[in-house]
Formats: sequence, structure tokens, C-alpha cells
Amino acid sequence: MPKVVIDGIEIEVPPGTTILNAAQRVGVEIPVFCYHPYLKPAGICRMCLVEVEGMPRLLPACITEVQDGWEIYTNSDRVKDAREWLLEFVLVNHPLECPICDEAGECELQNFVFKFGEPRKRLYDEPFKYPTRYLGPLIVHQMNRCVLCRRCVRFSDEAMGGTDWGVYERGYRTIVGPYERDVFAQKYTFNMEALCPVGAITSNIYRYKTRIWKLDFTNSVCAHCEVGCWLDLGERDGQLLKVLHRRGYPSPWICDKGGYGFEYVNHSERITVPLRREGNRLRGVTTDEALEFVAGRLKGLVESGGKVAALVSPHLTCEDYLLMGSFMKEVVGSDYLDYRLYGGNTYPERPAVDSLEGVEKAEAYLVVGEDLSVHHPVLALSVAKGCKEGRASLYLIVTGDSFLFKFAAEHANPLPGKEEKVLEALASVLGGKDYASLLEGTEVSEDTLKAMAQGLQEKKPLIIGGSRLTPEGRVLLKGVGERLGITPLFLDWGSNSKGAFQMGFWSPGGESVEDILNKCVSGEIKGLFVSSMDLFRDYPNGTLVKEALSNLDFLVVHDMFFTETVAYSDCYLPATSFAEDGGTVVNMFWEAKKRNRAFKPKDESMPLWQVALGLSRKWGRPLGDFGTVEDVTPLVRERLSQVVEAPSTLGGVKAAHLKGDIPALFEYPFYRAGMRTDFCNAFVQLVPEPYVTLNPEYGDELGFKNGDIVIMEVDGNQFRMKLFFRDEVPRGGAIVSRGFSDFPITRALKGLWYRGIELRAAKE
Amino acid sequence: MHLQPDQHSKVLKILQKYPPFREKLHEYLKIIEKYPPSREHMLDMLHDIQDYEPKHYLPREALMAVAEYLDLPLAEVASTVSFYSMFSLEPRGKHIIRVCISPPCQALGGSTILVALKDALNINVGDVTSDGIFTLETTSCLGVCGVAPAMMIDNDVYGNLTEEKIQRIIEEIRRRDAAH
Ligand code: SF4
Ligand code: SF4
Ligand code: FES
Ligand code: FES
Repeated sequence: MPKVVIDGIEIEVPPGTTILNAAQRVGVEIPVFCYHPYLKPAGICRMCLVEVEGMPRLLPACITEVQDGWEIYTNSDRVKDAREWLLEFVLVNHPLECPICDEAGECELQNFVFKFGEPRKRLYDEPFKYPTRYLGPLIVHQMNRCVLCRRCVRFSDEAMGGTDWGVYERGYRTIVGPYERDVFAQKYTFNMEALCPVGAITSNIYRYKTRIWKLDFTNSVCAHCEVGCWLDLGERDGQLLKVLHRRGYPSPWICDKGGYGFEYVNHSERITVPLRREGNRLRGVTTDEALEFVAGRLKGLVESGGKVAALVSPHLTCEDYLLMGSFMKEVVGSDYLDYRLYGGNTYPERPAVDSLEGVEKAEAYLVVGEDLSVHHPVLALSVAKGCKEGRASLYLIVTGDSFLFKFAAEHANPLPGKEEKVLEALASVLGGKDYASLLEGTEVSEDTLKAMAQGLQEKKPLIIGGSRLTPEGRVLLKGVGERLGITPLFLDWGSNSKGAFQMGFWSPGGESVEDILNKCVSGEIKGLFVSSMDLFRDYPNGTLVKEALSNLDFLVVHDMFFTETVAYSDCYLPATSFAEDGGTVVNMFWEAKKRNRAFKPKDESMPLWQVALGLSRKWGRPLGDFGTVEDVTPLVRERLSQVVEAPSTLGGVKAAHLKGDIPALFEYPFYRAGMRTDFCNAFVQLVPEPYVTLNPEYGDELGFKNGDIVIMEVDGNQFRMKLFFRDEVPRGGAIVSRGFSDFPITRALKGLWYRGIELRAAKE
Repeated sequence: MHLQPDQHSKVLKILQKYPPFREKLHEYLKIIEKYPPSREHMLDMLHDIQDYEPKHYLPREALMAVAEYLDLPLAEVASTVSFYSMFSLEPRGKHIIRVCISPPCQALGGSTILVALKDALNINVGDVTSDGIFTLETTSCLGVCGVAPAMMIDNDVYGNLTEEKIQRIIEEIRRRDAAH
């Protein structure tokens, strides 16, 4: 092992270690711009030059590997001089606008000039002025501040497989940014902003709001999906203003939902006091009165023989599920509770891998039934990583995948509703059975499937079953897994489905949400408690939701906003956001993570566990003596270690309803997926209204043009929407966006995400 | 050269993907499909297309063809194209004049030459003459400092330039073109 001396400190390092890494080990600071621990070394900026005894020139520390016996100086006069020169050059065209720059305080240029620079400027010439580009609601790019480290470009290339982001021209005219887009929002944009060492890429959401040193940061866990990325929440005066991702774990990257999807927390339309219905009006009341009212009404219903059910969002904490579950089961005596409000009828299962590192190690992947980049974005990056580096092969059976297809060795893009048919065909190929008939009407070719089967047999794949799979689909996928000797990793909607399941927040009889809603319609269930989810937005059957809610005697909604579900309620209880309370969440690998409270709940807002506790007290059968969420956590921990058996759900879901001309998949656009994203202003600006997408060629055939206004007709209901052409849509099918609380798109659905639709041009 | 079967299917796929640009793309793909689809051939492809274009430039469809053929984002091809001064994204004249502005030529009157050219052609650097015959550009050292000041028109180098000589060369080319 080479031995080197850095600034007089001797250290032995493994062969191949760079000077920079060796210096980091002994705690010597070398300034860097282009180097980043999670990007490939580039050696572009020369900020890291150091002196090596006996070498005629200074060497870039970030790309030079040490050799035995080297004596390295990081603060000799030559090095200091080089740094001063470099910084002076960087500052030639740099506007000294730190006082209005959002990066100030965490800017590496600022820090380096302060530490290593010389306060002089010898070139008195008009600085070159570059354009500033406002790239949509997420980011702003100010070329004037760019130090040309290319971290952003390298991220776009290395992690995302290339996007519309590059470096153009050269020399002092160099410009960085998108080539053809005016709006840059590409699911992982946040990382580019975070990587930029200076204020060249800054967040539009955070723009001119505060200064970084005024924020208090608290460690928390993202509430949008089950990857469960760590986030650092920056709070000032009870407002969540900035999110950072300071740990390189579980992945160095997060997605835009985690990074920018927090605006709902400070939304001005948030309702933070309880409301009680009086005729046609909802009147503000005290928490005490509201809880008393709710407990009383529920008790009345139960005493007169009515049933009460609870439907709770899968984005809450285990503490919430545990106490609410106890309240429902032990106090109210209800058998109907569920968290699977996105629809579907599957329960979580134990995975074959236990971490993203495990995912990254696989040599091949089979992904079925989900656009991972929408519902598990960081998992998609991990899958893409090995494929991009050529270590792994990816096989997709996914309708309308919008990101991973770039990396796929084989991509079966079946017509909406046919993913499981293709999966069945794959199982037949692997079993040596006849499969051609199964592929009929799926738009997937036999060649694709054969190549896929062959690839899967050559290398041991990691099998990922997406959230769209039905219980039957999961059985099929497990069959494929058995053949290849692998247990699949099944994904669920929401950020804490696994936790909700483990806490027992489901009906012991195995009823699905659909069953519960049907029981509301039939009158068996008379009272319903809904928490933190707009059923009209997310449950894929708007008509059923409407019927069920109108039929209830009593509806309580615990939420943050006046959603359509709230409009049907008899009582509204204000909910906290994920930043206002701590708790335990369980991620996709069944790992329990602790969320911390960043600031106190706004006004009267309460987390669900407190609501359950309050109700139980008013009922006269208190659940226990819990002061803070930490008092509930030990119970949660205990529950997490128990084995929970799920009821069988096979045969529960009806076959896809696919009458009508064009089979369509109703899917969330990225910026609409996740928790309360329709109250994040930036996201709403990015996807303001629902739209239909078709494959360009198919659209052509039908006589449409990109951007046309069309009428989508389902069951006689007409929806007026924009139509766009997208390559990823399978020929002969359509993809319709959903996830809009102010547009009744779920009325077109019947419990599943597929539906036959008719399209025609709207009359002018 | 014969096409590899997968190369050919690739071309077909690209053509299917962009119906509105089909014709233009097809032309360009025919030019570049003689190269295997790997990045190191990007510059050759771009040169071939630019030489093929009567206006010596790379239209957007050309970048698209190359990007699709190499499976690269358009931004990356654009990045390469804009880096090299030999490529242009704007239509250019039939003949491209490149005047050397490096120090040795400058020392021997390079700037007067540039002014003389601007006057003779009645355009600025980067522009095309109204008849579409000449584009005026500047360049770094052409490697013929011995005959400074120097310029290049298309592939020919002209040295020891004076204002009269420039007039003569320009007229000469105009005459030659007219004769054709
Ligand atoms: S925009 Fe930022 S990250 Fe990108 S090259 Fe410039 S300084 Fe580096
Ligand atoms: S939405 Fe999922 S992938 Fe994105 S930051 Fe949150 S936990 Fe991570
Ligand atoms: S950090 Fe070493 S060259 Fe940029
Ligand atoms: S400086 Fe003009 S040719 Fe060298």
C-alpha cells in the first residue's frame, strides 16, 4: 500500500486512492468545485491543485492517484498562489451579488474566496453579461454565477442517462442549460440545484424568501413515497421554506417530490380550525367541541346498530395507524378500516432485498406494472445506475414507462390493461409452454418476449412488482420468481403502506376499500372517518365515492384543505403536515425510520393519533396516557417486530372494464403523484390540468394533432381535455392523467386504473 | 458499405418516431448510416451532413438525426456542435471566408484586412452576403504565419494579403461562380 505524506502527516492508503481522498482521510481540506463524491471524477476546474515534491507542475488532487513515497503540500506558496489566481479568474465575470443571492451562506465560491482568495481584482473591464433563464416553477439558471464545474451536466448524464441539459459554446462564451426547453422539470431536477456549488442554479420556490442561516433544520423522512428518503426540513417562523438532502443515504439523490413538494405545508388555503356542519354551512368550533360532537355522534350510531368505518391515507405514521386502529377496533368496535385509498386489493409483502444498495447490486431487473420513476423515483435511479454502467440488464413490462425505458434491454409496452397478460405469456415462455395466443391484442411482439425470457435466464434478476399489479398479477409474478429462484420485491402506493399494514390497519375480514364503500351505499355502514386523503382525487371510482358519501349518516374528515370529500362532511378536523409531528414510518424495504417534528402544529391542527386519543377520551374509554408521539413509539416498535398475516384477496378484483374504443391507463403525472401535490403551487403550475396522451403515430391515424382539445367520453360522461403526443404511449392505447382534486377525472373509473375511452375532437 | 441489420432497423424506428420530419431525417440518416452508431463518429457524421447541406450548416433535423442515431440527448449533440467553430447552426453562404485574427497576423495588419473584407462584402463578421455567396468568419491561427496576414476561403489558403489583393480574390470567385 502506498505511503504518502500530506502536509507533514504520514498516511498509508489503498492503491488507486486520489490525493484528494487521501487528504480527506487525514483531515486536510482541499477546495474543490467540480469534484463530487457521487459523480465520476472530471478534473475540470483546477481548484484542487496541490504540489507534489519533485513534480514540475501542480497536480489536480481530485484525479491524481497517489504513488508511494510522495510528499504532498496543500498549502505551499505555489499552491496558495495558484488558488488565488484561479479564484481571481473565476471572479472576472462573476457578479458580486452575494447580498441578493440565495446561495449565500452555503456557497462554495464564497467560502473559498473567503478562505483561500486574495481580496483583489486587477481586471477593470466591463464584466461579460450572460442571460438569466427562468426555467419554470422549479429552478432558475443564472449563467453569470456559474463556475463551469459541470456537476449539473454530469448528473444529468450519469444519473439520469442524459436530458435536455448541456454546456454550449466554449471559452468565456460558455453557456449551461437546457437546449430546447423553456421549462426544466425532469423529476430529479432538485439534485442539480443541490449539486451546483454556487448560486447558478437556485430554487424558484425558495427564491428571495429567507437566508439559509436563519433556518432551523430538522431531520425527517419524505412523506411522498415508500422509498422514504431522509430529508432535512428548514423551518423559519413556523414555515417550511427549504428542504435539503444532507445524507448520502439511502441514495445520494432524491426526487423533486421530496425536494420541492412541501409547499402545501405553508399553503394559504389551509384550514387549521375544526368545522362543524350546521345546515348548509360549516361553522368553526373549538377542538373540544368538535371531538365531543364526533365522539357523541359515532357513539349514537353504534348504539343504534349502525356500523362505522375508517379510511385513512397511506402517507401517515405508524403511531397514527396504531392509535386510530385501536380506537376503531377496541372502542368503536368496527371491523372496517383501510389505508389502501389508491384502490387495489393487495397487501404488502416481505421483500427479497433489504436496501437500495442491494437493488444496485443486481445483475438484471424485471420490472412489471409500474412506472417506477413516478411512484418510487429514487428506486428508478438505483435500477438505472447499473444499466447505465453496463453492469446490469433491464427488462420492462410496463405500459407507458417514462424514464427507465431509456435503459431497458427489452421493453414490452403492452396496451393498457394487458401488462398481466404479457406477464402470463412470460411465465409460459419460461415454462416452455405455448404463449403466442396470450400475446394477442397486447401489442407486444413475440421476439421481445423471447429475448426477455432468454435474458432473464442468463443473469439472476431482481424482480420488482409494481403497485398496479392485482393479486392475480402478483401470483403470476411470484410464479416467474419461483422459476428463476427469486422472491420479488412488491411495491405499494403511499409512503407508509407497510407500516399501516403492520399496525393492523385493515379489515380483519379482508374487505377492500371498494367493499367498504359499497357497504356505505347499502346502508350497512352509517358513519365514516376519512383522514388526509381526498377520496375523489385518489380513489379510482368517483361515482362510487359520491354515492357512498351521500348515503352516510355521519362523515368526519381529518385533512388540511377544503377538498371535495370535506364538502360532504359533517365535521372537519384540521390535520398536521408531516413536518409538524414526528413518528415512525416503514419504507419499501420494511425498515423503520424516525421522523422528527420540525415545528409545532399550526393553530388547532392535530395528528391523527391525537385525534384518536381525544375521541377515545370523549367516548369515555381513553386509549391510554400519551403526551407526545414518542410515548406511542415503543408500542409501535413492539408491533413492528410481530409477524402479521394478510387475508387472502384473490378473486376480489373484477376484470378490467375495457369497453369503449381505446383502452386507456389512468396514471399520475410525476408532479401530481404523492401526498397533497395538488396543493404545491409549483407542481400545479407544471401540470395545471388533466390531459390525454397518445402515441404520435396512432394520434396521426386518428386524425388528431399534438395539442388538440378533445372530448373524452366514458359511460356517457364527457371530459374536455388537451391531447398530447408522447412516444412512450403504446400504439392503440391512451394514457390519461389523474391526481386532480378540482377535476372529476376519477368519475371515469370503476375501481381499476384502466378504462375504455372514446375520443373525438372538441368543436370550436 | 453494407448496413448491419440492427442499424437499419434503428433508422426505420427513428423515421417512424417523427412523422413530420420524416423526409429531412431520412436524407440525413442516409448520410450517416455508413458509420456504426457509436459516439466517436459523431464529428464525422456532423461534417458529412454539413458538407452535404448547400448552405453549409446543421439544421435542427440534422442534430435530431445524429442524436437519435447515437441514442444521445439532443442537448449533447448541440453541445458538441456549438463547441467547434467549424460547425454552424445558421445557414451560411456558398463560400466561407475565415480571416485569421491571431497575434502574428494581427501584427502584420490583420485587422485592416478584416475591415477591407467587411467593406468589400458589405457585411459584418458572422453574416451572409445578400446574394448568399459569402459568409465572413474569423478564426485562430491557420498555421501559415509565414505568409501573414492570411485567410482561408473554403479549403484554400490565401496569404500576404493586401486590400487590393482581397478585391481581386473576391471578384475572381464571383466571376468563377457566374461562369458556372
Ligand atoms: S450551473 Fe452550477 S453545477 Fe452547473 S456548471 Fe454551473 S456552477 Fe456547475
Ligand atoms: S417521493 Fe420517494 S423518492 Fe422522492 S424524495 Fe420522497 S421518498 Fe424519496
Ligand atoms: S476539483 Fe479537481 S479539477 Fe475540479
Ligand atoms: S497567426 Fe494567422 S496564420 Fe498564424
